[in-house]
Formats: sequence, structure tokens, C-alpha cells
Amino acid sequence: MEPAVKTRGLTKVFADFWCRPRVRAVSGLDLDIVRGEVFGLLGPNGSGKSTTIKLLLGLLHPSAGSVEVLSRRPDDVATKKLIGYLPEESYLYRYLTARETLDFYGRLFDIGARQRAERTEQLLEMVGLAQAADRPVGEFSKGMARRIGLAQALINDPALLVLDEPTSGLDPIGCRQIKDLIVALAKRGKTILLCSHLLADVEDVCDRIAILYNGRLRAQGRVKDLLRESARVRITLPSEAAGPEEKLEEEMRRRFGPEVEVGHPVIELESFFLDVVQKAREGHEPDSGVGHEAGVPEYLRETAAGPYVPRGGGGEC
Amino acid sequence: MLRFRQFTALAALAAGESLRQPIFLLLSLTCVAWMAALPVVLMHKFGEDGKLVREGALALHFVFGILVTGHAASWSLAREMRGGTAAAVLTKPVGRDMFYLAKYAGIVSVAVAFSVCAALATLLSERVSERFVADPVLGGYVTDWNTARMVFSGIIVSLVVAGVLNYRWRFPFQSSGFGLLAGMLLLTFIVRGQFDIHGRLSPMLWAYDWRIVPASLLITLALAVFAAIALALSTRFPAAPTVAACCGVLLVGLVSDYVFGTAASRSFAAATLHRVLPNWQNFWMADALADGGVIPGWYLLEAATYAGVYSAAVLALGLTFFRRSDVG
Amino acid sequence: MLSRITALAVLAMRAAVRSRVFVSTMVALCVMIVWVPLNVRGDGTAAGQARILIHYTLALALVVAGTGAVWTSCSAVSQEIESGEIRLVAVKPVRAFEVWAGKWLGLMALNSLLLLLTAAVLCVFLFFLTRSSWGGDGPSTVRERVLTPRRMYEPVSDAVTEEAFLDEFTRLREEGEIQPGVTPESVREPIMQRIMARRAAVGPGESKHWTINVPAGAMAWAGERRKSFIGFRVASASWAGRVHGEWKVSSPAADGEWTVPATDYADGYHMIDLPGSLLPDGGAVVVTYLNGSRDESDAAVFSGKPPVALLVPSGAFAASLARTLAGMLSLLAVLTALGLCAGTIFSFPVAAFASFSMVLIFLLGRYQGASSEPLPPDVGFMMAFAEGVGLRMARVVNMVGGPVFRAVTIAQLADGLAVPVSRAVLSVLFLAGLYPTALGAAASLILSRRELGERGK
Repeated sequence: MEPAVKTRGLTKVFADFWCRPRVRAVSGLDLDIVRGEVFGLLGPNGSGKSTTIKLLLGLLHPSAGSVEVLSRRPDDVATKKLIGYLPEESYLYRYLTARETLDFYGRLFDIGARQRAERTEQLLEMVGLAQAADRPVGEFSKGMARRIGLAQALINDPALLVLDEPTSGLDPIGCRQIKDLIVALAKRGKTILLCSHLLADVEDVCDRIAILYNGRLRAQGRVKDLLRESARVRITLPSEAAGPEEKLEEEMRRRFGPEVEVGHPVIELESFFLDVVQKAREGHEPDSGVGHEAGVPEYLRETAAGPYVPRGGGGEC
Repeated sequence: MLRFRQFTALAALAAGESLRQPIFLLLSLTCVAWMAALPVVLMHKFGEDGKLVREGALALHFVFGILVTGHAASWSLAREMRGGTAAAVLTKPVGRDMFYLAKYAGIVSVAVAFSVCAALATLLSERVSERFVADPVLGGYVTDWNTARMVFSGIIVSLVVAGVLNYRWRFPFQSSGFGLLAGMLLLTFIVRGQFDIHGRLSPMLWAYDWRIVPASLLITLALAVFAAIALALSTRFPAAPTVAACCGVLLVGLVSDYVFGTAASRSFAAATLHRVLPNWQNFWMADALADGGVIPGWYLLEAATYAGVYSAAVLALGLTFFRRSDVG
Repeated sequence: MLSRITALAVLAMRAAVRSRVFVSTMVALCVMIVWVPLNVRGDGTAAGQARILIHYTLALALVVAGTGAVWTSCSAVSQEIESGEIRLVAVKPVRAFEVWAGKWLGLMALNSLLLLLTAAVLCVFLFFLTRSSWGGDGPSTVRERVLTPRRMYEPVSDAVTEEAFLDEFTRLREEGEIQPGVTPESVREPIMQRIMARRAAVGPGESKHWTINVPAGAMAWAGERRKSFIGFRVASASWAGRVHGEWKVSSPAADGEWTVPATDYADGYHMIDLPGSLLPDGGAVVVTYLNGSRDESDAAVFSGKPPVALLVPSGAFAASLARTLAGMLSLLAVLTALGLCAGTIFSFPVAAFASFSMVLIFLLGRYQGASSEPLPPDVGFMMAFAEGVGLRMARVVNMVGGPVFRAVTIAQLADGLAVPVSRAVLSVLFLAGLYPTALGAAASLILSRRELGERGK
């Protein structure tokens, strides 16, 4: 199938004033996102997720490599017609009301007035801001701003939806709504690129994921495949069992009926993620993002002898 | 002691932040370069060059000083209040009063640093300007081209060295550029002080028009008053309207004598406005230096008292606003 | 495309209004255009007051609106880049030039609003001035002298010919004022000035003629109520500063001659009425001045540029006012484009500094010709080189910036001169068309290449 997003050797190096390389944010990234799938982009802080997204949206220009989004260049206007983007922060015009915001972005897509009005109302209903439709966005809480940000990303019924930390700042109900929305859109054949720190969210909705560390791709594949531990075999039996997997399954099914299941055990995505990052760190590469965490600092720990007291005494602020 | 340390830390932060703004270096450089160019542009004015250069340079000091101070005051407080940085500081054991006063101290120190540069450039420009010398050997109209060359070279050298420092050791270009500019001006001032205007070595001659120093000092006092007003305004308005309001205050203060002073004897309102509005004319004494005049010490004291009292009143008003302002 | 540009224009207007700069500009404008003209006194005449009203009101409006335009336009793009708002626009199907055009049009709509407000206030003031008994000369003079725009026809060129220059050079050399060996080129400038000064002066008992060609159709607006004038600027060489003499205006085509005694004219600009029937609608008009003074030192010096002019009614005041406003709007169009372009490249304070510096440089560039003194020989190579480079740069600046400020016709309007349609059209085409297009193209290119999602932005 033709990929919705295709990068080959994608590299982004941020330079200083003298054009000397300062930070290598993305390094030789090969990524294929198939049309119609929900793709998750994971990685610790500073791993290059947001930079990758900005490169895919044409907000940054690659230092090397190539990017194709919906078979075109990312800064092509025709590409942008098919994209919806929810940034990690609220970049909305503070003085526009929620309704005016959606109307404004709708105009940028040349959507007719009637259709624009209909979509605006429906989106406001969807994100639960119908009551606050005429309040300026500048007065909104962070969660409300995220909701209106999501609504503007959907105003053009995009073929590719890019969501950068979509659940950040949202309450549990909002998070649930976002997940339901992603599932609904996926069913309609939309491609969704999701970037999140909340691994449970990603695990729930993504078909495939990629893990970035230090600008490099460390793991990529279907969630089920990645989380499957092929070194061990888990047998789900109504009672005790033994023998090779296929034979065992056959034996088991013959003996216990067709509901018997023999498969590989699945670990938690969080464990898998930490394992990938740990292996990448063991490579001793210079780190462009957040470095190795050193654990809880000494002065914050409870010691056996009571609260920590610094050398030289005094607990002064 | 803790409060003093907090105060100095906050003031240093405010000053450092302003010094690192590109606009600060841009304004300082333009001001000094313009001052240095004045004697070159105003050639052959039959001995009037010194007066014209002096007044032009002091006017530049005043105008650019207002821009530097206005920008530093309105930008730092208004932006910090709306951007959340002020909130982060105020959640620490720091009072609003201290935060506000430290901001003021930081901005005033920026104004003082700028004024030192401007005063040095004014002294050097005045020295460069053409003058008539009644000397049997080297008499006639004389221009101190050596000093002019050194000032211009100083500007270029400071930029080049700042560039090298930034390239090699990643020093911030803006603040190191300004520091080097001040250093080069001081070096030029000291070196040329050991020569007469004909370029002959005369140790410790210091052939400068020292009357400029009190005039520059008065302008610095005006900048301190202006900083207090700009800071008070920025507690209520965002940066852009603050700058607009500052321009209004500046204009009104400049015409205060003409508009309100002349009507003060007839109208109570005019008399009140004349007293309440800042009168910038009190700090503009360049005219007094014409024909060999000097600014007396008692006038400096009086002006300093006026500036101190006025700034204190405006700071108190600004503090009242700031205490009631929503931060973050 | 139009829908997108309109949406962005409306957004730019809202942003400008919300940023309070527009409101501050509006308040400053209202205060300036109402308070200042009312508190500045002219020469005591109603016509003088009307001139001041027009000049001050429009000039102040231009300064205030121009400052506001630069300020607002600088922040329009730079602050959106800084706050990240532009990212959400950049990922939509909008081209960089549409973003630029939208912002420019939005800000221009606000500029137009400011100028319309100014024009309305000015019209109200002028309406009351023409209906009050202000000054000694009365409202009719205001209508005649100021509110009736006149086209100026200048005399046939009186330029110094090469022959006249060489004659003067030969004469001075024969009289011994010029040393042998001095070439004509080395003394060209002072000799030319000397000839021009001599031509400008009319000695006691002497007379001077100027021939003015009036094109056909020029008198279409002239009539009994709309008189033509001879305007001249004169100065007396005597200590009394008064000029005595006689003006004769004759027209070979209309076969008429008209004489007016010119007694007791003070130094300055004067106008004398001409009967409507005297002037032909096409053909030459000869204006003669006869200096009637008997005092030897009492020469009349006609120093104006031009020294004498024929002022013929042309069009309505409203039309000239509209053309002046079009010129002002064109200037604001350039300033807005400049600010937007600077804001695309730099952060807001640096953009504002760069834009205001550019305006200052263009203003100073106009005076580069005035400074033509050579450098002293002891300044050295570097200083001489800098002077040469500086002069060349000033010429380029003048070439680029000159047309920008020539579009402003406030002084002509205040002096009762008609603003020609051609000038307004050229202003609009060049300033509101060519300059913003060039600046817009540059800014769009930069905006499309600029990384809007860079770290720390």
C-alpha cells in the first residue's frame, strides 16, 4: 500500500549563528506510515519526536534526507489541504472566540460558509465547548485550549491527522474522548500520527509504533509484535500442560476443546519502552535531549537517621 | 543578609536579561557610532563644532537612553508578568515589593551602564571636533583625527572580538559586545588623555571638556525617573501600550514648561499639572554649557533630589499597582 | 485565495485593535488633530488659519498614523512567530504571500480608517471656518485663497546658457577678477550663482519680464468667482524691507493689458488678483514687474522657485483633498510593507528599530545634496574613501526613498495649489503598488524559507 508518510535518511541538525552544527535532533530516520493506520511515535524528552513532526509538516527544513507526505513535499499547499495538526502547545489566537477560531481556520481551507458553520457547531459539540463558543480562547484553561486545538485540526476532515501529545492537559473524560475519536477516525480510513508520552494511550489505540532515542529510530513495528516475547512461551490452559507449542496446542485442543490458546506472552509497553531506551543508552552516544536520570537527589530522600541534613548544617532556603 | 542577596540576585538578573537583548547592543552601537560621526559630519562650522557636537551628542544620549530604558522596563516586567516567569519567582520566598524594586534597580544599572558609554563617547567626540587654536606653530582650525580613528577602530574591534568570543567560547554576543564597546571607549579615553589635540605626548593632560560630565549625569538622572515611570506603567499595560504611554509622558514632559508653566499663574489645573508631570527640561542643561558656562554642583544636587523624590513617588505608585496585579 | 486573504486581513485588523496600539494611535491622533491646530495661531487671517489647519492636521495625522503603521506592522508577523501562532497558519493550505497580503490589507484598512477620520475632522474645522467671522479677511478669502485649488503655471525657463556663462567668465577675466590660468570649469559654480543672483534682482527703475505659456483648456474652471492670481516671492535689498513698483500682465492672444500698482510689499509671498476675462484659454501671458523705487539700494529680489507663477483655478478642493489623502495612504502603504518585511526577518524590537532607522535614513538621504563641501586634505585615505562610499550610498537611498516622500502633497493643498490627478495616480501605482509588491515578494520568500518551528521560537 502507498505510504501516507515516507522518510528516508531524514536528518535535522540545528546550527548556531555561525552555521556550525549545534544539535543533531533527528538522524537518518527511515519511517513508513501506511495509509489508514494509527501510528505512534514514542521517545523520551529531547529524542526528536516533535522535530520529526515539524519536519513532516514543513515547519522545519531537513538538513539531509527526504520526506514525502501523502506522496508530495510537506510544504506543498496541496499536501496541507489534507492534513490536520494538533500542536503540543496552544498556538491559538487569544483574542478570537472558540467559534471564530474554527471559522477562521475553516476559511483558510476555502470551506463554504454553510459547511463551515455546520462543521463548527458539530466540532464545538464534539469537544464539549458549545457553552463556551463565544468566549475568547485566551480565557480558556489549558484543557479547554487543547479541546479547541483538536477541533481546529479536524475542521477540514483531514486524511492525515498529526496529534502531538493529544491528551496532555486533558481530564480523564477528555482523554477517553480523544481515544474514541482516534478509533472512530481510524475506522473511516484516516491516517493518524500520534506522539505521546502516555504509553497506555498509545498501546490502546496504535496499530504500529516507532521509538526514537537521541534522534535515531530504535524500534518500529506492530504493537503486538513488538510486545511479544518470543524467547518464552506462555500457555494458557484451563489446567496443566507440557510439550512443543504446535504439538501442545494440537494435543490440548484435541484433549480440551477448541477454546484452548497457545501463544507468546506479552509484556507491558512501558517495560518494552524502558528496555529499548536502556539498550540505546548502553551505546554511550552523546545525548542531544534529556540525559541519564540520576534518581532522587540525596537531599530529598528520607534517611534512616531522619530527614537529610546538608554538610555545614542549616536547612535554609 | 538573605534579603540583600535576593535583591542583588534579582537586580542582576534583570540587568543581565536586558543586556542580552539584541536591541540593547543595537541601540548602544548606533548611539556611539552616531556620536563618533558627529564631528566628521559637522566639519567647517567656524569654531562652532564643539558646541554642536556636544549638544548633538547629549541629545543622542537622551533619546537613545530613553529607548534603552523604556524598552528594558516595559519589556522585562510586562513580559515576565504575562509569561509566568514572575509567578515562578514570586512563589519563592520573595516579596512583591522586593521583586519590583530589584527590577527597578536592574533597569537603572542598565541605564547607568549605557550612560557611561554615552558620556565617554560624548567626551571623545567633543575632543575630536574642530576648534580654533591660537598657537604660533600649530595654530588655526584643528581636528583631532587620531582620536576619531581610535574611536571608530574601537567600535569595530569590539564587534570583531565579541564575534570571536562567541565563535570560540560561546560567550553571548550582545553582552560581551557591549562590555567590549565600553572597554574600548574607556581605553581610548585613557590613552588619548595622555596626548594633546595635536597628537603630542603630554602625560596626564586629560584634555577633555569635563563640563560634559555633569550634563551627562543629569541625563542619567532623567533616565532613572523615566525607568520608574515605564515600570509603573508596565504593571498595568502590555509592552506595546506601555511604550506608547512612555512616548506620551516624554512629550508632555518636554513641553511642560511651555504648555503648563506659562499658564501656571492663571490656572490651578495648569499649575498642578506643571508640578505633577515630569519636567525633562530640568535635566537638559546642554545650553548652559555654551559660552564657557558650567553646571554648578548645587544644581546637580537639586536635580538629584528632584529625580530621587519623583522616582520614589512613582515607584510607590507602581508598587501599589503591582501588589494588586494578577501575575502569571 | 480571496477568502483566505480576507480571513487573514480580518485577523490582522483584530490583532492590531486588540494589541491596543491601534487604539493608542487613534487616541493620539484625535488629541493631535483637534488640540494642536486649535492652539497654533497663524498670521491672524482666516486664510492663514485655514492653511495651518490643513497643514498641521494632515501632517500630524501622517506622523501619528505612520508611526502606528510601522509599529503595528512590525509586530504583526514577528510576534506571531515568537508566540508560535503562525505555526497553525503555516500548516494550513496558505501560501506565504497570502499571509503577507492578508496582513498588509488588514493594516491598510485600518490606515484608511485613520485617514478618513482625519479628513472628516478637517472638513468640520474648515466648514466652521468658512462660516465664522474669524480673522479680518472673512470666510470668502478662505474659499478664494485656500479652498479653491489652483494649478501653477511657471515661466519659461530662465536657465543660464553656456554662452552667457562664457561671456561672464570672459568679462570677469578682462576686469581682472579672475586670474590668468584659471579654467572656466573651476569657477563654474560661483559664476553661475552670480548670474542667477543678478537675474533675480530688479534694480530701481528697471523692469523684468516673465513669459508664461497657458495650455488650452486651462481656464475651464476660472470665472468671476474663481479668480486667477499671479503669485510671487519677493525680498527687498533695502533696510526697510518693502518693495514699491508696478505689475503689468498682458496677453498677446487676448489683446489685453492689465496694470496693478505693487506698492509697499513686505518681504514674503504675495498674490495679486487677475480679472477673469484677461487671460486667454491657451497662449502666452507676459508678466512684467517695474521697480518704481528711486532709492539706489532698493532692488527687488525675486528668489522663489519659480520667482513668479500664474495660478489658475483647477478642480474642486474635495478632489485635491482626496488626492492628497491617496498620496498619504500610499506612503502608509510603503511603511506598512516595510514593517511587515522587517517583522518577517527580525524579532519585534529589532524590526521596529530597523524600520524606523530606514525611515530616518530615507529622510536624511533627501538632504545629501546639500552637503557638498570637500574634505580637508589631511583626513587621510580611509576618511576620504568613507566619504566617497557614503555619498554614493546617499544617492542610492535618495533614488529609492525620494519618490516615497514626494507623494506627500500636504503643503501644496495648504497653499491652495491643485494636486494633479497624475501625481495621485503615480503615487498609488508606485507606492501602493510597486514598493509593497517588491517588499511583499521579498518578505514572502523569507517567510516561506524561514523555519517557523525552530527551537526556542
